[in-house]
Amino acid sequence: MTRAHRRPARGGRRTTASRTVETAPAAAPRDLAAPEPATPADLVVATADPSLLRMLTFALDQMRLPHQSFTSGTVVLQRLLDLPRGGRPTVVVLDVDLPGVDGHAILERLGSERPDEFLIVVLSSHADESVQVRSLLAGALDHMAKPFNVRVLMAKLHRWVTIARHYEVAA
Amino acid sequence: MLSLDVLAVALTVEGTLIAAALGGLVVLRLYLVWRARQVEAGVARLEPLLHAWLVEDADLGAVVAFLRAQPPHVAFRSVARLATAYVTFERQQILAPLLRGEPWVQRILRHGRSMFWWRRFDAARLLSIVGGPDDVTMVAALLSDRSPAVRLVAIDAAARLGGRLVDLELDSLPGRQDAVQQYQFAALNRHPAIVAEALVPRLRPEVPAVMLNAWIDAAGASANPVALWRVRDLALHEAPEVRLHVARALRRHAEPETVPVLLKLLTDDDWRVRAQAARALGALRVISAARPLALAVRDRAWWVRYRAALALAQIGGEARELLLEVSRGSDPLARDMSALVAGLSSAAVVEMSEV
Amino acid sequence: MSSELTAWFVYLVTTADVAILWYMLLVNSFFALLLVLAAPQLFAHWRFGSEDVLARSLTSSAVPRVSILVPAHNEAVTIVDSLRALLTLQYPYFEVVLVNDGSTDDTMQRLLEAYDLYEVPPAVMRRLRTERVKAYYRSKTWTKLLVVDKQNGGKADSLNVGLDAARFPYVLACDADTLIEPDALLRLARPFLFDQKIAAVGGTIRVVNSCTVEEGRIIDARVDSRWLSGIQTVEYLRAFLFGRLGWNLLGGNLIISGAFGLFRRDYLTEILGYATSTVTEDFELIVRLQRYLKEQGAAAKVVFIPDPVAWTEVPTSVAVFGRQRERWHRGLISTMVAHRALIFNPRYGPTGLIAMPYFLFAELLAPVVEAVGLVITVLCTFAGVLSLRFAVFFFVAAYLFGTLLSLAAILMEEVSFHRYRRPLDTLRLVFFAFIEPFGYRQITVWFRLKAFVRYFQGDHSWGRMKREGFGAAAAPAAGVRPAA
Repeated sequence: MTRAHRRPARGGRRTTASRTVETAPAAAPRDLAAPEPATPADLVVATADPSLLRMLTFALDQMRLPHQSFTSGTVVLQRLLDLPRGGRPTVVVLDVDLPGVDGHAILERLGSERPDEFLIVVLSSHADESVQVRSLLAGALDHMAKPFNVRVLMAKLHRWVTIARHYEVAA
Repeated sequence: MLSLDVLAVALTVEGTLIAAALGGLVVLRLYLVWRARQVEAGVARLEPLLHAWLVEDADLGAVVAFLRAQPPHVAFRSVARLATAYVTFERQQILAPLLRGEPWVQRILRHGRSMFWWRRFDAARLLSIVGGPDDVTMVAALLSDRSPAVRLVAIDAAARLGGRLVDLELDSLPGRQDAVQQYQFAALNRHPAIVAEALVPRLRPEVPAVMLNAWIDAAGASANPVALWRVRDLALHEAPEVRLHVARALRRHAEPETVPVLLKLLTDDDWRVRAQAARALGALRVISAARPLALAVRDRAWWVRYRAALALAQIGGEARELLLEVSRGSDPLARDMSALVAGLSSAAVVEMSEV
Repeated sequence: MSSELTAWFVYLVTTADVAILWYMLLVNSFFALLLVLAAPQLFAHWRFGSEDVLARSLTSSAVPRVSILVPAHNEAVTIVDSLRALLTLQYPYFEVVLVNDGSTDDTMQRLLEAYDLYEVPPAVMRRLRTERVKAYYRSKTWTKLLVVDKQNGGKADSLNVGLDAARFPYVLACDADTLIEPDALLRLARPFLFDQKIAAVGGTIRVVNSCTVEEGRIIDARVDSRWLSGIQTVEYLRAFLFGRLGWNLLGGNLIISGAFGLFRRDYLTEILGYATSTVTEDFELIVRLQRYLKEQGAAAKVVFIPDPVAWTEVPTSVAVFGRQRERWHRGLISTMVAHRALIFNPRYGPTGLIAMPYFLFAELLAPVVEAVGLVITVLCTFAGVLSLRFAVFFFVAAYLFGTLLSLAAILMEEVSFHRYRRPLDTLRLVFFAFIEPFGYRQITVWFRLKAFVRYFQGDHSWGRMKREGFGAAAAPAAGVRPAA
């Protein structure tokens, strides 16, 4: 990510968020494999690892799944909380290591403020049982330890986006 | 005047060295920037090829051909960087045989017996990605290398190969520090069956406690029922250290026969054993242990109170009721501990009891 | 008669000058030795650390569990942000114990609001004597957080309260206003993976002035263009990069910065925690810890890693800078006096035979020797006793060695961590390495001399503190102490 802002820290610690990466998905031609066209907010990817983000973007574009990506925990949390209540659930791919607010905290915040409105898969480098259990208890739909199988993740995401289109959360 | 001469000599030497340092600064900066760019470029070009393979199952030929065209260090660095972070163990098994015969791989692996540790380090690192059956001897040597960094990376290489290296690793376990042991457990878990088979004959009461402890921990980390069966039989070992390790390992042994053993350990003379037994009973969610655990919340040792209260919270239901009961009781220490734990969120309970 | 006296005087002065010259050469040669010892270690750490082994150790449980202790006193402005940066460190197993040391501003209020704190019963093992603890709090949203509110008792006292409340086998003492690298804990865990028995780990502290910080993380490392902080940047580089790394091979470090250090908790509890009576509790603690380890015959080591793990703000005004250096030197004097039994005592191994004598001669007495040298040379040159040429040669030779060592440190930074990406910043570092001998050194000597005066007056206070930038009203990073 380019560092858009450069300025001395003398004035105090900056709390402004780093620039988000907005991936504008190429208008995907509809075919049998692709789910219904969706609003970009149907699928959200949050990771601070640029290489991982490129891989996920590539894979999601292959699947013709439109998505929005973020590299800061603070920004993605704000965006998700700003989404209108009700409507379809949003599928979120959430990396635990995010600057600002980490994945677990986002999970807990969303779980307490907007339960059942998000289908979240947590990505983390911890393969430990306890970390996985913790993610799931906090409301994640799935927890995948890095390095994970992208094809499996994509299949899951495809499935969940489809499911999300089929049910609307009661407002 | 002698001292003036001394000063003059000192000045000349200093001046020369300063000039050398400044020159070195410029040259090294340029060289390192160039080298880093070379590797970055390699990574950037390898990335889409690997992605294509990972995402769409594209042909690996492109990856192999690209790496062959790079200078060996660029090929090595790019693979090391990307393979470890994004390629699963199973997929690495597909990649390894394709790369093993490549000239650049051969070249780096020849350094496995170099006198410089960083060359052996690179060889070990590469073996952890591309190692095959022919490399067992070299990995075995690297596992007992004199450089701790090489030994550590060799653990990953051994994890790729398994087989007789597992025995070697288990034998080296007791001499290692805690962190390295944990690292080895994670690597050994790649070969659960071989590890279990190698552990069972080692878990005997007459084995010296130091070694026994490490192997009990290995059994616990593997969560293998057969090995843990043998661990359970060590629960009455006379050394408290061993009983401590047994109690800790048994939290992964979800069998009905484990419960009476843990309940016995919950009343052990050594408070560390009691604490670990309480933790195991919580991890296994043993409802029938609720009453004994509620008693343990009144223990004199802080850690036993802490582990027992967490266990009650973890078991939940009836056990949680008991916890609340203790928090209203007369024993001030037990009251504080149970009130603290009863107020924790479920996520906090999971985190605190696991770690 | 008078000419005989003059000759005798000239002889005395020249001898003293030559002696001082030899002293400086000797001390500087020792620094050069440290440099030689440091280089291969720096290389090893850099090679190993730049591998993704670091990333992989995250996935295993092969890292020690760490309780981070954060004493905070009147940090209302920054506490919420600093704490968030700590809570989002990349590390699988840690907790944060924040100790509010009787703040008189609304530090506690802000914490209560930002982190959804609720009071919990005092179910804590109390082992150390400290000021009264008012209450313990846990957070509804952050499971890793424990906040302790206590009566004011100073930094050491707060750390002791944290030490009691900590639940993991290792504790990391840090300042609330220190910026910590997101992967700092992973880096500190490296010596554990090197199969060593560890009592304490210290890491490199860098200067944050002028760096760009976002969300509590350094995203762009810069060198301040102002002379005072710029020179301190070079000084920190030099002190940490090889000054301390070299000691790993000479019996272990005697300084692990109070702004960032990892310790085995049970050792600290055994030695009854931090001493509340000293003005530099971090230095005193390590000396006591080394002493304890040697007396117990424990094989555990105090190691130092060269990786930049934390960033601290250094004073930008001479007055604040002076108070800081004066306090550090006063702490050094009182600790050396308290532990004088170790000096040249073979029972304490290399610590007693090398490290303690070094601190006595090359650190404690350095300002005295330097001042005497300065005064004699200047006076005698004016009186015509010494030739101007001799005086100039003397100064240049003595100070150029320091510059040479600074350049070596910059070179090492360039080839290893290379955190300053822009050539301009490297140029600035080189520039400051050259101007350090002119003014900065003399000012430092002056403030360190003042420490002797205040020590003998029996003053044990911290002195008035003032900060700019983040961490408004906090103490200047206590004991970061870069002195080589």
